[in-house]
Amino acid sequence: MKIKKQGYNICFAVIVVILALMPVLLNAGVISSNSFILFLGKCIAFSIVAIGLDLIWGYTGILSLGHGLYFALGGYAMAMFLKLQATDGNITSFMQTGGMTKLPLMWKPFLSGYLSVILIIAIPAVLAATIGYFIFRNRIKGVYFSIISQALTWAAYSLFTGLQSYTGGNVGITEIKSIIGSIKGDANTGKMFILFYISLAILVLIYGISYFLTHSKFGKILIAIRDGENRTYFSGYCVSTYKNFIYVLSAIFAAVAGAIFVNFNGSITPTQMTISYSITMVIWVAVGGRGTLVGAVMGAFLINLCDYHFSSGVMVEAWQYILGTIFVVTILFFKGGLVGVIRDQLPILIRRVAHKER
Amino acid sequence: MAQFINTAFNGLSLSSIILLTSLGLAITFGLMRVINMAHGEFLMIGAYITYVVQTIFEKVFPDSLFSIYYFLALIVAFGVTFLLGMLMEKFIISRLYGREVDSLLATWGVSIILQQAARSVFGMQGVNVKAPSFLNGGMTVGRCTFSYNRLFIIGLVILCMILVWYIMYKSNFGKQMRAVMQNRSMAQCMGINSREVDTLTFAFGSGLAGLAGCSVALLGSIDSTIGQSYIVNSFIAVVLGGVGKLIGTVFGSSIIGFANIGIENYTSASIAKAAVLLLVIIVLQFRPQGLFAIKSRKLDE
Amino acid sequence: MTNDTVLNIQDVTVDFDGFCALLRVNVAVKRNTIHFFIGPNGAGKTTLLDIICAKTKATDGECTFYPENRSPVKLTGMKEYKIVGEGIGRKFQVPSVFVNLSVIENMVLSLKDNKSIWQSIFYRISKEEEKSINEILEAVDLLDKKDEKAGSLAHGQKQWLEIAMQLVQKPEIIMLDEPAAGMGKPETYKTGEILKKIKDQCTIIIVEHDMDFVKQISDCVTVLHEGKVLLEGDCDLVLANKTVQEVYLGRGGERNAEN
Repeated sequence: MKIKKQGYNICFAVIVVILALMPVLLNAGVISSNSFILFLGKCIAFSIVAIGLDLIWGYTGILSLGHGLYFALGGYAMAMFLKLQATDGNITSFMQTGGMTKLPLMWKPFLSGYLSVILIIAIPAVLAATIGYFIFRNRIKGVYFSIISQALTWAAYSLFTGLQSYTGGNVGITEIKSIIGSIKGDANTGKMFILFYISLAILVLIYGISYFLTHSKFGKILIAIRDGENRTYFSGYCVSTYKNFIYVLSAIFAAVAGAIFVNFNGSITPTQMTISYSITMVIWVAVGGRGTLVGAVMGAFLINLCDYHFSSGVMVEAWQYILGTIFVVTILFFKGGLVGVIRDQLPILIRRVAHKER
Repeated sequence: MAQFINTAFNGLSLSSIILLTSLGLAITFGLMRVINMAHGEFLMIGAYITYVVQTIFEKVFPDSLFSIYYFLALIVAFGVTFLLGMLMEKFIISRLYGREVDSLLATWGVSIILQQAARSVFGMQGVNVKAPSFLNGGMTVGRCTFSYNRLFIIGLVILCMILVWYIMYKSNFGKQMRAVMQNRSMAQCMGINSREVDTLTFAFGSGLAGLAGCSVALLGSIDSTIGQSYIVNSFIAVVLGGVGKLIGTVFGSSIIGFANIGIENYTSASIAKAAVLLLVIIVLQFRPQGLFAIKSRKLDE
Repeated sequence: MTNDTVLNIQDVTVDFDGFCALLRVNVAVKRNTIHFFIGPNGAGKTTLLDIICAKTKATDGECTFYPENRSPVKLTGMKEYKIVGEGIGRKFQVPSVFVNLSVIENMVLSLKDNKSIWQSIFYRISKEEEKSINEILEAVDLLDKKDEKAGSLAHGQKQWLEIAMQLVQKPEIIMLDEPAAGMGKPETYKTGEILKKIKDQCTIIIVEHDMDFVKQISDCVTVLHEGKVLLEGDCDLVLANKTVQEVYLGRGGERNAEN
């Protein structure tokens, strides 16, 4: 049991070390393109949101189909701060097109760096806490929660595309420099590395927090809620508060991920807020292995690596078929995802092969 | 007055479209407790079938016969989605009974595949269906105009409602279906082949999505994401009405439809959409089981 | 009402959409006794427990809890987890332990204190708690299965684990819904002996069909029939009653004879 638990951590450590070596490999010429590092930076963001989803879905059994909303909120907040830095606090071009002459009140706080950082976390947290408070207090659970979270995301998406002069509509906020200046092009690789390592450190921090939580009594209560919500009430726990707490925490993780994503991606669009984008995040967790933190991280990296390689060229059509199939097969036959296969199925297979040879 | 009647008619029309897309869900989700995320894609398939049948008619048959293509499309769409539903139940859903959340995710995988298939076959661009000639124009009463294709959809919904109601509550199959959904093991003891009933029930729900697709095809351009734009409202309509109650779905759809049009009069369409969904979510806070609830005594389902 | 009453059920009525599960039920449970509720299926026994622990809302009437050293608590309208916090535990009819947690983890979750989020995050098990858990597990023969997943236990062992989970809470009232179901005669007897031992520290309310079990440990028996209290008294009085024999024991007796 001990070794298994450490196994997950060793796995995670290996992933972190490989990531940390990537800039070195780029300098050494093993990796040819800067954009691959940019892409890995985005993957770090994805794995952070995957950890958050794993906490609520894998551990607590709440399937949110709307984490894209929190991801995008963090993203928009970060993007607007960066945009306003670039325009020296003047209004952006899409606001001008929308007929505005002054910066609207809702974006004013984003003129300040400190306030922006606070709001990146606070806005999704308050929103999630409000939604969670009502939904969990009224014992809405299971698929009902999923359907409502999906409807909320849809509603937010409608709003963000509808309020064009405030949010940039369908286009979103584009052409953003990162928080430490431009990271595109060969001249700025140093800055890109700094940003990359900062993000990696955040990932390690978030993994650490989640690991601590899931291995405390708190984590056991989450599992108890997943397996028997009412039974947990009758053990004397205020389940709705627990659920709300973990839901808010995962929303914060998603928002942080969104903020990191914007730095590497250079833009944020309402696409990140759609239902399908949100479910894609769930796919990462499911394929990697729900209920193990490292599974979420692995899933996020693997699916996105495949996406990166196949989204251009001959595989582009086939990839969608493969993705769909992988997902169906994972849910049907490998509930534990990749981690589950390595942990449960592989030893049996090896034993069987060894048995035959004997 | 004319303005009011127009608004009411638009509300009725939108309600009927939502209801048509929700009817299938009311069966697969409401009765069988399967969250079929590919339901929207079945609708998309129904819409594309309408397009295909229309294209074939245009090429093969003389103009005078063109209008009847639509009735053939209805039959083909129902048949194809019915068969697809059967296949899906046999190979995927049947392994996931009792795992509601997992059924949601697995069917999402199917939905990814079907959407890509639509893009592969029909391309990224949307296609348009030429409405049969008898649906062009509208009926004018006083200063109000009621377009024929919207009237037709309302009629189609009423027909489907009667069909569903008859099958569920009057036919022998409906009795078996409700028996299996209420108490599977007991129904099996009574000699009902519950596997078969499951398959047919799911297929029937999927077939209704195909029919909905046909009618949606009359309203605008068809692309691979058409299903996604209807599915959210449909799920919410079923939940709002109360899962497992046909009459609930009717009310749920109507409330969403009328509220959407009503709010749209004062703001834009996208804000109305958001506002209605938020309103419904607030209503669900007071009636978490929906408007027409069924009580249960189980501890943890 | 005398001051040794620990739980008073007053005029409780439950109406499930026209079906009257309980009708003006009045029962007073005395401190440090083992109080049985018996009756044919559908008599409303489980519903009564549901009312006490707030799983079901009563249409009318109220329940009041008289803790030993505190002022009375009105249970009606309280949330279930708060009732548990007041010291009323419940074991359900269907064994409902947390299958993916180990036996010891199940026990730790059931401990009386540290139920808030912050406490649970920074919780470390204390020496006394560990000792009391071990003692209780010893008593129900589960000590050697401490680190096994609760899901892998046999049915009877799950029952015992759930009883143990109630005991470790140190509640003032324990409610057990058919604790002997799925147990053989020797295990049932042993369960009875364990319950007798802990009666000094708490009050035990049991719903049960096994009449031998009732005879073995009961202090007071309430017979429910069609949602109403038919009779209340000690075991011998109830067994001797003609009406009780007619509506319940006749059938129960046959069933016991088969066993």
